[in-house]
Amino acid sequence: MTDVHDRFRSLDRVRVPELWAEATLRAVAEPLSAPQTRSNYMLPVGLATAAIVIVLIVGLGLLWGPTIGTPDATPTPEATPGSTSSSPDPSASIPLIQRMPGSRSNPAGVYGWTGALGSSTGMHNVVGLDDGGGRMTQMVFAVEDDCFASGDGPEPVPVTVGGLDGTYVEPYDGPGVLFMPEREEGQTTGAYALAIDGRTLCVYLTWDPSTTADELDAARQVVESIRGEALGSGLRIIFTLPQGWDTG
Amino acid sequence: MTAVADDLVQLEAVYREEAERLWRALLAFSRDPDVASDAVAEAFARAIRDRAAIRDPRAWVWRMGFRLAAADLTQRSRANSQMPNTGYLETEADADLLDALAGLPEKQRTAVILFYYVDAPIREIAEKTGMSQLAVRANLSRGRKRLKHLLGESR
Repeated sequence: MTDVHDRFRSLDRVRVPELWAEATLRAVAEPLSAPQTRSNYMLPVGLATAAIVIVLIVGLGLLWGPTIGTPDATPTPEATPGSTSSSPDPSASIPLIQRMPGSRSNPAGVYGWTGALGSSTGMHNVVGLDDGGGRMTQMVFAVEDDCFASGDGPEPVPVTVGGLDGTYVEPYDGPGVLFMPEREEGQTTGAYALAIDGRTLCVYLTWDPSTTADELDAARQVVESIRGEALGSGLRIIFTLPQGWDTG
Repeated sequence: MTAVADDLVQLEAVYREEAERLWRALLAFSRDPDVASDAVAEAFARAIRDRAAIRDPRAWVWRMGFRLAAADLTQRSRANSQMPNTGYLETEADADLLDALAGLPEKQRTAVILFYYVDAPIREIAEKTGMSQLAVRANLSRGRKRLKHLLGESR
């Protein structure tokens, strides 16, 4: 019945919908009686309502809260440039969200990004505006073959960051390393090239002269929390953010 | 990073490797892309929720997917209110094959799909369905004969 085998191959022509995001949304919603109604499965992530987002945040906190705690990867201070103190103690009820943070007011939690080779994204944490000044920490993620190919800096030094091997350059400057459009006077960028699953994740961390040691350390903890895997030509990563980072 | 986040990365890897074949297998099982989509999304949602208790998530999502799809078909059959959404499939998949599969009892259909489409051996079919290997042999043998017969009739 070779012919039957061939006829089954016709199934490969049918396009398969992407359902992972739907599965993760369902996972944090109230348990459903199986099977679910057909009206729910097509729910596009982009149309997820604020209510669902709230369920996502609250639900994950309830569902996974007890098992989420301090990142299990132990920083290696001697190999982590600028690491000044022990890791922060995240809340025991950190929500798990697999996307980049939104444009404002994001809670602490696990976020994520998927990037193809050559793509990048960024975020920042602005603090102290109420004091009349304000200072900013910026972080840019990029998937590149060589994170230091087009910029300037000293020789990269080997580092191990949260269990990931890589290299680090400080100070560093080059195209695409800033989240904000222009570099301001006194800002410093540290550039990581981290090996993940056969790909290279570039992390460009930039801070102001007035950024405190604790703030910089918290930003480095974000880098240390990064985990990922290869996806096509690129990477999918997840990382833990304290409150305050946004993409606005 | 957390153990939970690591679990989620691993489960998504399982999704990336298994979901397309599972969805198409469930499409063959149900002839309805809505049933297939609902079963895949719900199976992985439950895998995320119950991850600590699942030893082999690859086999587990297949078992759960077929269970959910079968339950959905039963429910819809009882309600008798919704016809399968098969319109666009006729230009993509082999409609005669899907019709013939629909004529098989549920367990025979499952075994035949896993054998022909997934190329799974008896042991793997047993793992993916929860049937014993003897039951798989029996259902596969009967299902293949019946499918051959039905395909002959449908030509």
